[in-house]
Amino acid sequence: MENKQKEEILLEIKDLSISFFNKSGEVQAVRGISYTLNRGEVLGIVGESGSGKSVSSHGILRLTPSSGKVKSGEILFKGKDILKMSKQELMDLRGNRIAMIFQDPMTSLDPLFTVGYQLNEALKKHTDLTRKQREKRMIELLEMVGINQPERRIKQYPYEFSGGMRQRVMIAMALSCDPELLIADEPTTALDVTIQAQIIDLLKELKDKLGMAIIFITHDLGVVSDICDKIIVMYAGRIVEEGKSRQIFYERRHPYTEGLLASVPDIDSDVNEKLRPIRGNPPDMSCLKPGCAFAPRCESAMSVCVREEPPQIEIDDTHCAACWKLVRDALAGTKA
Amino acid sequence: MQLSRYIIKRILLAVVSIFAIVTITFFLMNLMPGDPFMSEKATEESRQKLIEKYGLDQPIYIQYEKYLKNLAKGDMGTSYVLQKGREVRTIIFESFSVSMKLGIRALILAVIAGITLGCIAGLTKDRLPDGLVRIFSSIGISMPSYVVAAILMIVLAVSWNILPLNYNKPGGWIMPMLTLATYPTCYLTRLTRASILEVMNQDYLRTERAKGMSEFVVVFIHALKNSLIPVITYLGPLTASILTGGFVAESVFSVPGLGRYFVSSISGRDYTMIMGITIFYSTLIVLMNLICDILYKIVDPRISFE
Repeated sequence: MENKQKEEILLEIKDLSISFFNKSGEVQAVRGISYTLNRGEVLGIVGESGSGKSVSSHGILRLTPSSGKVKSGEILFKGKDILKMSKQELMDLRGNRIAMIFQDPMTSLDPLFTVGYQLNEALKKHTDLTRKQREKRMIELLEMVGINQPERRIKQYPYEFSGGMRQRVMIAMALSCDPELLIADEPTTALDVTIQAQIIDLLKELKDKLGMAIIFITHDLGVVSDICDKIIVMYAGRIVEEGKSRQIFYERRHPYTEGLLASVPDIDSDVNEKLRPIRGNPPDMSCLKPGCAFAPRCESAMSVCVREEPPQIEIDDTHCAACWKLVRDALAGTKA
Repeated sequence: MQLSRYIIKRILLAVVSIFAIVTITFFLMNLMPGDPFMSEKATEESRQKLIEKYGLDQPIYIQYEKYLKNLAKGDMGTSYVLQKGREVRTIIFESFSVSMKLGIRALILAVIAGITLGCIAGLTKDRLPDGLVRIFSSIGISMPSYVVAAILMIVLAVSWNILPLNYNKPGGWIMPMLTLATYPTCYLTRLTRASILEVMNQDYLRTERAKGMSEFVVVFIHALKNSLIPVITYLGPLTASILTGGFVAESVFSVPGLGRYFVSSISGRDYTMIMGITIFYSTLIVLMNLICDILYKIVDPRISFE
């Protein structure tokens, strides 16, 4: 039983910390996060800008910009630490076993090469297919992501595609070698709302069809609600709450998750009702104060919150949150 | 189809601009005080005769009309002063072939060295190689070519005595070539460096890395091609100016090229030569720009000929 569970784990991140170094010093973008992802599972990572969600997931493929450095931690993919891999091993992994799509499809394709050329690159590197077979595969892929007339389209340049179509190309490119894990870094943020829905539907459909695991990074909780099995909420480089999708939406325990959900406008609400933002701004990651990073913005902050970092409290097997309030409640529970 | 139409359109436009250049130059030139025969050791009477012989006593618009008519037939007249009596066409052709031989070598050197140094600097930003290249290119770009020529002469020809000063001796072309190539090499270095630095931060390079492409493919196929676009824009005017020869380089090393006629034709009031060289130079620039624009389109598919 335990063995079987171990086999199912695809990705395991242990105590990962990533910092950027610039003239003004160290910026701690990711501060010791750990999570696991099983085969075929969809994990949503949510948080506002600067919460470390993108940095941590770029770190999985070691795509952190040169000013950034992984300070500690392990990234185990099928039990093997990606951080210790050689350049060759890493290149064999990227685009093959783990693929990635990015936020801005308008700038993520090289403007000077045809879409076919860019699709072919990964296929040529990671598969043994002949030229003819690769061409067939490229057409299949474009068809799969819903691009019409793929035979004609592979000869075109990125500027001849719209934003939504380019994101479809990016998805086709990512899926070309049947990855076991797809990292989608805010794949819909730069797109129109109607196109967003189409891309989410497409990802869902492809997930059911191909069965890969997905890490879905977004700042929009509405987007992740119906695609994710599991959600991680990040704030200031840490995981503040983690749980099944249902638990985050209906049984959330962390005040930040609460605020995040409350700030999503509801279509049924009165038009005169004001938006409910979370007060204040995220902390400056280059000079973090002790205590919970969210405390200055938290409505239920206590004196302990500004003194000490809250521990991760397990609410049940799949749900945990890092908040002193939970400790207090637990203590009150035992006293009563 | 589209390309040939574009070329025809550009050539027609070029004819118009060359016509404008001819007109402006012709009238400005005649506004200069003096005439081609002012330095002749002749009596006032024979000077007048020469002026009449060449029709310079006629009203300017008649001279202009005559010049255009002859030009339309491909006749640029004969030189008045510099090589008296020889056809301007022949002089330009002869001296240009010398300039071109030198220029092509300088151009190849500048392009190869400039792009290579620019890449090295861009890829090693803020490290030692970048610093050295930047110092070298800053010096090269700010030094006038007569200083470059003088330094080359003193070091290579006088102190080390490894290259001849005379252009006609074997290896004599090396120093004028280096003089000609210094500025464009340094300019291209800086241009390529800036361009590489900008391109290296682009999202599509991250996509390439995420696909598992090697750094070699990322840098030398994707980054380099993208960063060469601004470089190509500069190549047009550069080629034209290098091919017609640097005035300084050709004068200092007494190269019998076109460059030295640029200034001497003007100071000598050699009207036909001034016109001939101006027309030739502008045609060359227009042509080079056209070639560059076509090259541009080949590299960057987003550029359309509309």
